[in-house]
Amino acid sequence: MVNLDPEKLLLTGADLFVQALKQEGVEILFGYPGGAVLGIYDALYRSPIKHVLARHEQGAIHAAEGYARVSGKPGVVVATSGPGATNIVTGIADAMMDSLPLVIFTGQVASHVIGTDAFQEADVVGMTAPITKHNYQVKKAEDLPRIVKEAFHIATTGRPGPVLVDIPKDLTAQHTAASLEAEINLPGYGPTARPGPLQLKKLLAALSESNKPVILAGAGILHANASEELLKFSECYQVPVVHTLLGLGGFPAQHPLFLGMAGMHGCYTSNMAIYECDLLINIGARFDDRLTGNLNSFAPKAKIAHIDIDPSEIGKNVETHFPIAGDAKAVIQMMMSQKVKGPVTMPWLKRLEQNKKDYPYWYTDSEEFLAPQQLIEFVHRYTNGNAIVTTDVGQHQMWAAQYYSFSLPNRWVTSGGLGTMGLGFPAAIGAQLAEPDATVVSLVGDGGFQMTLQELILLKEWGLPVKVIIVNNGSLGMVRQWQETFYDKRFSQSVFSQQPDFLKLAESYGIKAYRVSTREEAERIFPEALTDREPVLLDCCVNPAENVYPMVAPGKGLHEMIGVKP
Amino acid sequence: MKKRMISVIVYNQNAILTRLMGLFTKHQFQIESLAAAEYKELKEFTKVSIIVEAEDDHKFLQLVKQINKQIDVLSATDITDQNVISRELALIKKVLV
Repeated sequence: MVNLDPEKLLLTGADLFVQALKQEGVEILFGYPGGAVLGIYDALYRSPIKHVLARHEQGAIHAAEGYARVSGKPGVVVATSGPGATNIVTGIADAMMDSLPLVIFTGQVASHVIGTDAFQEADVVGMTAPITKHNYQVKKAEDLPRIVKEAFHIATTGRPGPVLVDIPKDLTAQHTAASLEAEINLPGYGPTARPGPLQLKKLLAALSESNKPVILAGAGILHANASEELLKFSECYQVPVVHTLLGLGGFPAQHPLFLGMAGMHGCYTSNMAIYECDLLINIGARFDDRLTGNLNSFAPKAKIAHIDIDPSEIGKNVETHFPIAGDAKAVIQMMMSQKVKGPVTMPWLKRLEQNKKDYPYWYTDSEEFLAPQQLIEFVHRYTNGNAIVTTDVGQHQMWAAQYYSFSLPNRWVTSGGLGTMGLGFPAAIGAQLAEPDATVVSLVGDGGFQMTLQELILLKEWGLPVKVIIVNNGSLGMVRQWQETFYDKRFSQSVFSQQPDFLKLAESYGIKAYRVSTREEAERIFPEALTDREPVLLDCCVNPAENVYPMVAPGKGLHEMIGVKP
Repeated sequence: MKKRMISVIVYNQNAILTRLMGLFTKHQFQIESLAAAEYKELKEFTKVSIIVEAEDDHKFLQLVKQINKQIDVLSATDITDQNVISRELALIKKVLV
């Protein structure tokens, strides 16, 4: 007969934490171990939860973002204290700006040395307060189940966002008899999903009276899974749809009622539709400055409706006539349940159709170079237009948005609000883990790729058939374009004098790679490279002088685009 | 410049004051006065009264909305033009030579 020490039967804080994660349905973690999270990693050693060991914490958090954007589930990240936590700050800020549900757990030095500048100590709660939806520092091991539950609840409800939980190391080692059963206790939190009917009535009455309505659809459509509802609403009342950068895929690009992306590098038809419309129905967009251009000439003739889950976004940048706080899906369903007389939009639609024909996106084809826009068209063609596309930030991102016609929701992963270079490649890893059978294309610039290329090893390690396409123009293209346009061609630090050999780099990571410099090479290499189930790196050398057009220059209105026609 | 007063009821958790102060900094408001006191009967709730100088109404109202959005804030109200009893206490030290 063995006498068991009852103390030993108790769980440690780390065990309790891992069990709480399982209870939340967490299947995969993205992280990097370190001193302050050794207890947690020891508990994970005994757990079936998969763990993706990124090669830098930044890679882990961007991968979690890609996972969250594509799956709709929260991306979960674990990092150690101090430098581990500071390395994920960019990803947290990015998720905050683009409303992605992340739950981040950081280790912290032991409770009794907090505040003494102990080894690997950083005030993570203070540091991340402005860039998290909410954050915690755990004070007692028995609070872990409640805090984990609350963190997931906050991250995934209302307007999604990142929630950080800082866990002092001693709590993970502490034995506790606490139960996993925990009640959420958030007296100050209750997102409104359904608005009152009065504003909706007013909006529908305005819609009936309108002759030139436009729907501006943002990422809120995707977060609310409201693509089908948007399509029905748009078709029912024959209202054309314009997308923000992050909304792409929320409405099928081939649909006759779709006008295209609006904003700084949006198309002429969309920007002019916003400029000329008499009713602008914004669903789930936040009127970002890159979308609106000069606010004094933004939708000057329009009554504006703003449907947003976050009431503080309504009226923030643009004066709103119909403020409607609520979940996009619920709001559209409510509007569809109150059938009203449809507006007469045929003449308006005809004009917009003509604009689409007269002012398409354009680029100059050359024998000498592969045009980057054509590269995106090839990627679209050889992936049948249904790949998951992730990007970094810059020219290639804008070309991807312009030329890859997204027709499905949650197929487009890009950094909109924060504009984070280095996000594209790790995000593709997270996206491929979320959708193992999908074709995932990581379109990256040669600049951004060099910020997080250390994650290449994960393709081999996890057998991920990610297609890495480097849109290589030997420069920080968007910086170079602005210097050309606004700084009299003084290319200060935007053109690389030395570049690595990306093919050899891929080889060293055990990934096949090709260089593509012409249209012929693209047509020869792409069909197989983009369809087999192997990871591949394609170093595509494109015209280094190519610029993104059309463009609304800073301070100009949407109707003052340059580069609309060749 | 107009003095504006905000009354905030917070759930006393998770460095809520740090978060509030961060918002004032982000929105470029100088805090002129801040008073925080626990409710006697409800220990986990605190009332915070904040006075700022604000020129721009829109910016100020946006700040109030952002405060309201915080998870541990039960309510944030602009009480500038409401009937409130406010009191200042000055303690003056006179050096007797």
